[in-house]
Amino acid sequence: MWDHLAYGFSIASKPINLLYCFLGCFYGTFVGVLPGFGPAAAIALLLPITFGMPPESAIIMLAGIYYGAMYGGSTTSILVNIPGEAASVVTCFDGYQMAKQGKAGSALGIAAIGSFIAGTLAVFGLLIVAPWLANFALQFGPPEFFSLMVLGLTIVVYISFGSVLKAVIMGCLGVALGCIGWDYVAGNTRITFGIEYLYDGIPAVPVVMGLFGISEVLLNLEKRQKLEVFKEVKNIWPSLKDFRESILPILRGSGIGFFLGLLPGGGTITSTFASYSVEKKISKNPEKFGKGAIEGVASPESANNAAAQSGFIPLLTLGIPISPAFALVFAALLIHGITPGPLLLSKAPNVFWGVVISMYIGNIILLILNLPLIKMWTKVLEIPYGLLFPLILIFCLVGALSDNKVGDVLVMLIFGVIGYLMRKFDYEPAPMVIAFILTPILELNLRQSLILSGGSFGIFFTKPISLGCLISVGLLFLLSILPKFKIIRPKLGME
Amino acid sequence: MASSMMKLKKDQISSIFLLFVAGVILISSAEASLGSFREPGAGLVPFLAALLLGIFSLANLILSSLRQAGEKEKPIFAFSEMNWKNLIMTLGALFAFPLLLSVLGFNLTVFGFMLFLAKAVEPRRWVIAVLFALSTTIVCYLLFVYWLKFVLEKGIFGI
Repeated sequence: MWDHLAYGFSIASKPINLLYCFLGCFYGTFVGVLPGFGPAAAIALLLPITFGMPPESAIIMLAGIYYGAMYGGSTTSILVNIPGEAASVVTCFDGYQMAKQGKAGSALGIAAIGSFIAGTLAVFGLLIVAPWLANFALQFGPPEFFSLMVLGLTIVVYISFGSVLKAVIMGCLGVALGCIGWDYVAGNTRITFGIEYLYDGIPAVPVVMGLFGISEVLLNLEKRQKLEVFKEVKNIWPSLKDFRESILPILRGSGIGFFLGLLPGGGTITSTFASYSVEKKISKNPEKFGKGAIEGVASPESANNAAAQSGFIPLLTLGIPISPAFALVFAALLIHGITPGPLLLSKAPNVFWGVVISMYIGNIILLILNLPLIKMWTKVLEIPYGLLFPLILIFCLVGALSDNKVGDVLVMLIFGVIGYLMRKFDYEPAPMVIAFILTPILELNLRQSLILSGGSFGIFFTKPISLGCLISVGLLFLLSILPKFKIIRPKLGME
Repeated sequence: MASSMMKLKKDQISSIFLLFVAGVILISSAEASLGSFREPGAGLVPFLAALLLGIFSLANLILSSLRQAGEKEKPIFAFSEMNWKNLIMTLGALFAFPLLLSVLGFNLTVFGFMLFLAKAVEPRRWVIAVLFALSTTIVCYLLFVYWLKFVLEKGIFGI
């Protein structure tokens, strides 16, 4: 392990990778601070820029954006009572109350310190779990991968917010969209309507840019609200009492975040609700929660950062993205000719170890960015949206033109409108995006399995790992339809 | 109560649209060979996905119709509460961007797009709007064309 650590440091500490790590963390924090612009859109926006970079630098920067956004999200929750991104919703409950009581500095400080501790612990967890999981996954063949992806999609649907039925509908639509274009096994095209542009399939990056970038701008333009920002941020370093009250919630939040982050389905969001619920349940003074309890900031902020980093484990070792943002990192790896999965460790160790160690460096960068420089981030909230939204749009438009295909821009705009309408009609885009990106690999593994078994579906039930995954799918299905268990699911998002 | 009332009509409209989408995908994927479950053809997976999409959309339609029971609901687009002019103008500018790109070229299109948004959508003084559009165009050129070597349209003016 020490050899791997040293190797990872040799990659991550290259000046160019340090620069990209810093840029990713800086941009991620900026995006996290801005309400109405999430990490998926932020990654999609900069993805075209990474095409010319070495793969490890590209993934180091994209990873930095993701966990940087988790750090930055707390600032807006605490100072404005609006979450900078979805994983910071819970921080509003007590963070904003603390700000109202003149303790904005303590709240911001404990959020940053908790995030740092959680991020650091998650990197160590990743160092231990990822190689073990990758080794274990070497036993996987096409049937295991197929069943695992079906399980991943089922969890995404199960955990997504709102109606399960609508999430299933979105998953099915994502599978259908993912099939568009050439079928390289059969050698013919499908669902292209004779349009030559669609022969290569719908490109993933413009789809995500549209669904998460353009649609967010359209929603924000429709209804602008003036932000009331707390400008009095004093005593950023938490007192010893604050720290004593927060250390156990930080550790518990880190553990919950780390393990929930491994599950497909937006681990960062779920983990914040779960950790908040746990703290409230075990607290001697549960009535303090919602009225400015520092534990209510420390635990969820630690959880979302731990989950943001442990989410890289299923992505890098199994090739399963757990959220749209990870789906984009998955797409970025494919664009750089690297297939995420158990062979990544042996085939691209520079990417794996470089990215893992860069996360530790990134955590230090983020601590510096979020504590001494917190006043700079509060200024970001004062940028008029009238100047900000044209910049987001032009970066989306030009980013979509990276292949100089006007069709990519049209795809992005069409999916931007679709994303806007989906939100109007209460549909979640996440299950669709993950299904869309996973479908080509899912279908390939299905076909390879059937070739191996001579056309028998029994292959999925005779392999123990595959069978275990399918049993889990069945259990989740039962949990979502049985009235007794049905109430468990929404609780995660509603409490 | 109000939010559940809102969802009724929304679900019916969206389900009908998704049923139509499912139908289009079903027909289109059936045109590619379906093969069999043992030997799937090119169209089988999208066909099954579309079939499930159709079944679940129909279920959503039926469930939402059963829930409706003559209740009134708020409109999906509350035009009186939303800034729809900004929305329409921004959408217009977005869809005009790829159309103008081949005619005006990258730099002029970016400049025009930014100027329009800064002046028409959220109005600012001409000086600020022009400076904003100009500086963004220069940054985009330096970043995407000069540094990242994107090959972008030059248009009829060759710039």
